[in-house]
Amino acid sequence: MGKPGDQDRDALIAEASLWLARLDAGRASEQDLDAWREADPRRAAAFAEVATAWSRLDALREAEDEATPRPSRRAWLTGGGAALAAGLAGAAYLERDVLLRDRVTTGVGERRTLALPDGSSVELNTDTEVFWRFDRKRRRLWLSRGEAALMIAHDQLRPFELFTSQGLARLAAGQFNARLRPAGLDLIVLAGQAAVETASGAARAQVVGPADARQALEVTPHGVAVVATPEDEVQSVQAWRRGEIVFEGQPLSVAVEEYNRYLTRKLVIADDKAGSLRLGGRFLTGDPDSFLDALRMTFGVRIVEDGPSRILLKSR
Amino acid sequence: MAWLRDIDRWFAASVLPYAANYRAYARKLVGDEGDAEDLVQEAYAKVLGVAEWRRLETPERFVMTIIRNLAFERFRRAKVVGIRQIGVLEMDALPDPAPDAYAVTSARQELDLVLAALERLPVQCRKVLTLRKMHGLSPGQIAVRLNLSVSTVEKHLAKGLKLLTKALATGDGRSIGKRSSSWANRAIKTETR
Repeated sequence: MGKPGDQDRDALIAEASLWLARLDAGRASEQDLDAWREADPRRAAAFAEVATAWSRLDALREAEDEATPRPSRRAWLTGGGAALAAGLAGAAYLERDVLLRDRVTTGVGERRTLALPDGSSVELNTDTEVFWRFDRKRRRLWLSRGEAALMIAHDQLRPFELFTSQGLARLAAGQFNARLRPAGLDLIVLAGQAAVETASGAARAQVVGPADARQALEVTPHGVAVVATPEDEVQSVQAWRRGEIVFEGQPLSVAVEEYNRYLTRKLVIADDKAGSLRLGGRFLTGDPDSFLDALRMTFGVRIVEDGPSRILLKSR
Repeated sequence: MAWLRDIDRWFAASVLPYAANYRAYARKLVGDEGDAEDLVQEAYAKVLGVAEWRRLETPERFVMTIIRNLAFERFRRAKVVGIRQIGVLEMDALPDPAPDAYAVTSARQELDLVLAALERLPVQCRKVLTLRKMHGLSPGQIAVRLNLSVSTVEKHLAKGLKLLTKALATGDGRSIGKRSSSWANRAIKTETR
C-alpha cells in the first residue's frame, strides 16, 4: 500500500464512495476532490464509477414520479400479496417507502419475537416473513408468509394495519393470531377488535371480556366469514408460542401437514390407511423424534427413513 | 454532476458501459479473476491519462487493446506462461465488444437491477440511500429523521454506495471475488498443471 497506485479496487471504490458522500453532504469541496483525484488516475476511474452508480439511483426517483403501478416490484417486496393490498388500501400503500421497511424472518423450525417501538410485539412462527414500518400517522405490518401472534399496544393517534395478500386488517389494541394459508388468511381475535377489508367483502370481530368466545375472521378469495373459534383451536394457536403442537382427534394426514411446517425433513404418509388414523396429544415442535416415537408406539405406524429430505409413515 | 470533469463524463458514458466485456476479455487472457480485475483497473487508469481522449473514435476498442498489451507485458515478466494463454495471445484478434452492452437494458430492467442491488444492502445503508435518492432528503434531514449524526449518515451513504457500485459493476449483483494469488504464482501453477 506504499504508493498510491498500489491500492486495490475495493479500497479505491470505498475511498471514492466516501468522497462522494462527503461532497454530497457539503463537507468537502471540489478543490479537495481534485487534489485527491489528480494524484492517481485510478482514483479518477474509481470516482467516475461510483458517480455512475450514484446517478443510476436516480432511476428510482423517476420511477417514483410515474403513476403506473409495477406489479413485479410489489411481488418482489411482499411475496406477491401486496398488489391486492395496494388496490384495497389505495394511498395507504405507497411505493416510495418500500425500501424503508424493516424485515424480520424465521426459518423452518424457528421462532422469533419482534419488539416494536410502540410497545407492541410480534411473535413469528416457523417459516415466516414480516415487514414493518411505523411513522407519525400509522403503524403498518406486512405478513407476507407464515404465521404471527400479535400483541398490539394502544395508540389513539396511529391505527395499526396488518397487510396480507388476502386483504387488510385494522387492529385495535389486543391479541391476535394471523396465519396465512394457501387458501386464505385466518385471523383469530383473542382479545380486542379487528376489521378486515378484502376485494370480496368486509367484516369485523371483537372480543371484549375474557368470558367472550374468541372470534376468527376467515378470509378467502370468496369472502370473509366470522366464526366463533372452538376452544381447541384457541389452544393450538397458543401452543405454538410455547413450542408445542396440539392435536385433538385430527386425521394423521392433517397432523402431519401441521407438523411438517416445523421440519426441513418432511414426513410423508405412504398409504391411505395410515393417513386416516386419528390422533390426539401434545407434542414439541422442536423434537420430531418424540412425535415419531408416539406415532410408532401408540398408533402402530411404521417409520421408514427415506433419504435426507423425507421420512415415510406406513401402516403395518 | 458538478463533481465530474469532462473526461470523467466521457469515461462514464463511453468506457464504463463495456465493463463486462473488458472483464471477460481480461479473464480470458489471464485466467484469474483478481488479476483480470487488476488489468481492467490499470487500463482505466491509462485511458484516463490520455491527453487526446476526445479524438478516440472507439474508446472501448482502445481499452481492449490496452488490456491485451498489459497482459502481454505480464506474461513476459512472469517468464513462465501457460500454454493456453500463449494461444490466446497468438490469436491476436481483439474480440468486438458488444455494441449494445448497455443500450439493450430497458429503463424497466435498469430499475429492477438497481432495486435488486439496493434491496441487498444492509438496512441502514438502504434506508439512507433511499431517503437521499428516492425521497430527495438532504443528509441533514436524513440525520434528523433517523436520529443519527450527519457524519453517521455520511458513512452509511458511503458504505451503501461502495456496495452498490460493486454490485452494479458485476451486472448481476454478485460481488467481485477477492483477488487471490499473485500473478507469478498463478502462471507457474498453470505451467506445472
